[in-house]
Amino acid sequence: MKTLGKIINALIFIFLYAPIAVMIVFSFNSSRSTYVFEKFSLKWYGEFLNSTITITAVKNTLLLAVVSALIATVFGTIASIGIYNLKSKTAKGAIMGVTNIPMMNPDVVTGVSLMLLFVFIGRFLGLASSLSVYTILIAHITFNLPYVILNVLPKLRQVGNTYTEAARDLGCTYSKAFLKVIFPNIYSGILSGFLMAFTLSLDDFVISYFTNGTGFQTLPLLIYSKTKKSVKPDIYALSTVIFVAVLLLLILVNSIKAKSEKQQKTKRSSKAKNIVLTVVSATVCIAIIAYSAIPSENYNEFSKKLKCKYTTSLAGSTLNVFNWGEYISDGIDDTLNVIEAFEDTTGIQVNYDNFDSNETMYSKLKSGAVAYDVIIPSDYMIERLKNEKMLRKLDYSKIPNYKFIDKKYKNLYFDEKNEYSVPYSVGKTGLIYNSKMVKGKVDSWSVMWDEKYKGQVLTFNNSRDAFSIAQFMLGQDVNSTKKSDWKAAAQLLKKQNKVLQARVMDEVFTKMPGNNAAIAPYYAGDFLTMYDSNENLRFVYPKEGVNVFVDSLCVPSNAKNYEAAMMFINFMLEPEVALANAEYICYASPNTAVVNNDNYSLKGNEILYPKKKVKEQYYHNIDSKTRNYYEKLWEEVLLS
Amino acid sequence: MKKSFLSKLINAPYILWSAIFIVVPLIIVAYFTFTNKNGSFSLENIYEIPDYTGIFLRSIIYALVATAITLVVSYPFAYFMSRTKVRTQSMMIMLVMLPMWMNLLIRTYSWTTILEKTGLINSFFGLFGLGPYNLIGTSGAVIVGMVYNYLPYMILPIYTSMSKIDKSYIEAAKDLGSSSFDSLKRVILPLTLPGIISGITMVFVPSVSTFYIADKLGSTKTLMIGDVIQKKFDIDVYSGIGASLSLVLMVIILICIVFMNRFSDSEDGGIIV
Repeated sequence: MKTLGKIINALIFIFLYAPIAVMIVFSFNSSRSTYVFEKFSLKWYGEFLNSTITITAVKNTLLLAVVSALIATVFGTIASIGIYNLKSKTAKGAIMGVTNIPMMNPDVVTGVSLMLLFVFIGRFLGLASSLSVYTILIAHITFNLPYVILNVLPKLRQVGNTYTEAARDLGCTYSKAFLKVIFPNIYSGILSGFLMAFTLSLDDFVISYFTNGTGFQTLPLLIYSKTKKSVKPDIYALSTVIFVAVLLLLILVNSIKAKSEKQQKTKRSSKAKNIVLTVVSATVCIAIIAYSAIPSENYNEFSKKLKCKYTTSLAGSTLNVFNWGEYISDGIDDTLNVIEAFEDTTGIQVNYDNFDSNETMYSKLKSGAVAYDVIIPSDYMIERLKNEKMLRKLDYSKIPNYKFIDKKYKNLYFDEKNEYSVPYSVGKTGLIYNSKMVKGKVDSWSVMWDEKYKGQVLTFNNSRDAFSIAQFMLGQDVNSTKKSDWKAAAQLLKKQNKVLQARVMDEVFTKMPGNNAAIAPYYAGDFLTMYDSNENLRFVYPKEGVNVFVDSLCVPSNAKNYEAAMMFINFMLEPEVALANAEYICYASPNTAVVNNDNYSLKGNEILYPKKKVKEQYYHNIDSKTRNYYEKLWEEVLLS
Repeated sequence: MKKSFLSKLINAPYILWSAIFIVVPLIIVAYFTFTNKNGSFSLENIYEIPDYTGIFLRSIIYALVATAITLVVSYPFAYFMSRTKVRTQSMMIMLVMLPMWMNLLIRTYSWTTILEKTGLINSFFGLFGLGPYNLIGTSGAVIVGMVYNYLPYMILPIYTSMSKIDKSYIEAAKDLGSSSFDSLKRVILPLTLPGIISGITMVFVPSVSTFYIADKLGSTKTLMIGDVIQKKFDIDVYSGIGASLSLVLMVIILICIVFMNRFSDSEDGGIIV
């Protein structure tokens, strides 16, 4: 019996710690893979310490956790006393019922409902952006409160009224009676409430996801945006540090507890108080030390050179930038950290946030939930934003570097007169396959329907890109407004279901290099990133045609810092900056200063800059009726 | 007199706060459920709900399976844990809680390394010439992810009620001639029922509404309702269908909680460990 118990418990601990072990092991990997361990290295620990974005996120998380937990504790304690003293049973029941809601409700619903409230209020007050650091703070306090109340209230019940009454009979005022009699007795409840609130706030992702505003990223949100693409071990390194810190803290608490338990018989209450006091002060101290000891910027030689070209007249102001995830050079592996370089050069503080689809960005802007000064949408979305008067004209006299933009990328359909956008990055879809797993010549999308590769084919998990493949196969226009065209394309997609392994987006970054699938459509530049870790991968532009897209820098009509936005756009076109970005993103650059630069490692790359003409089509903005129609078809494809 | 005035004064801010940030948001969700894009009353979002029946059922089934597995695994674990030395017990409790301090996203993501076609498990089987098995992208992977993330929520309440049991009860049962299986069934199990009930609630509620886990470890065929709601609001902040799905999810959970509460008569509900 005993050994059986030991075996069961050991197995469960293995289960609980296996992923954490994986995380710790791969945080020491010298390559960026989280699948293949190359050799031991501490490089990722350096990377995360050097990354301002990560450090800021850690600081924000700690700040938010401490502030929201403190407010919730004070507020919740007062509320508990109020609730406890309520005479009416129904009132008590009603308040407790409402208090329980945030605990019982799924996080998704709590997050969504709070977001709707904030957006509603924001619209009512006419705010430019209704979500901010205050909304996320309110949300955290709201979901922390019930935990504080449910820790304090039982303690109040334990104390009961007799002590207070006795104290008052002996001449204490109500407040004195509270401080001298009640407080010492409910102390431990308050503290465990605080700790619980602190922990919950620290770890919350779902509610923060819906309620955070411009430029206040917490660690869970950052991790979410990072795990969208392939996770780099820097996040593992950071998590390992957190793990060790928590482990040490818990061991400390445990040993203090054990010690005090021995002495418990002599001085019971004061000892217990001491422990809890130690725990809380240790938590707060660690938070404060981590907050202040974390190095801030110590950067950057590069900006000296550019300093003469940029004024610091806007120093101290803030610029809010909204970009795709992993779409700017971030300083990893001794590359240029573009955001920091810009801050250093101009003195402007940048809030940098990520989105993961044009539609998400559009809906956030449209609802007034957030406001940004610079955004980087794709072509068809620019057309839509322009049509809906959501973009502001750019002042090209303040963007002298616009001269570097290749003529090919000027006067494009979505901005025929070059008024609203400056091209940032150019991409094409194409077919990636593993030459070890796929035999013969591949030059057509049709291989994605080949039953030979059953269970090894991946495809896009977004409607437009997935449909486009079927549309190319059928020789249709990808911007067709004919229902019959979309219907036929949907039919073709349904036929594909039986050979598919999965519909994915960023998961290809791990699946294809890891030999977990044989065929996947994706974006040309991303293939180069995958090829770095698996040389058996091949890329082809299928003969039926591919989609080409241009992501461009734009300024929304409600931008607050227009001048700084112009400066930022110009800065992004600086040859060194554009080069760093092009190297990092791996997509084709529209910047001639990059394309013709001999230091550009991808100069003349056959895939990014093919000499042979590729049959290609842009997506256009599609009217809402057709869009709704094909989205409905898409759901059918998914469910079939 | 003074006291009742004071207690009213003390209660006012909290009542106001919960009204604005708990009750009103839910009313807004209901508002979006029953209006169309132009803001007039409409049932169009309600009519769309049946399209998602499959996803709702799938979420409930996954959550039930995950809850059942956590229960079956946690019970013996808590039982054996409660019979070790006190020092070991507090050590083990600490080890159970420790993973909860790590970010859920990271913990879930690490599972991809373990479950992928070329991941740790398949490499292990590969040594014996077996596999590779399709582990990732299956409903099994999603359930493993849920069991993993919510296991401590089951272990802790069961352990708490287990450790409260007076040892003399078990001894008494033995003295009266019951086998250890009998004493488990007749003494321990009934006494730990409140812990089991609160464990089930604490695992089922987050499991049924989870998002991210199914997204990372599953495929489009294992999508859960939480993911659908997230995606609806991602592409449209004023998503009527998203609001109506949230409302349905809330009702499901409410029913589940009311149902579970019928089994437990403890006043505190045992939500807090």
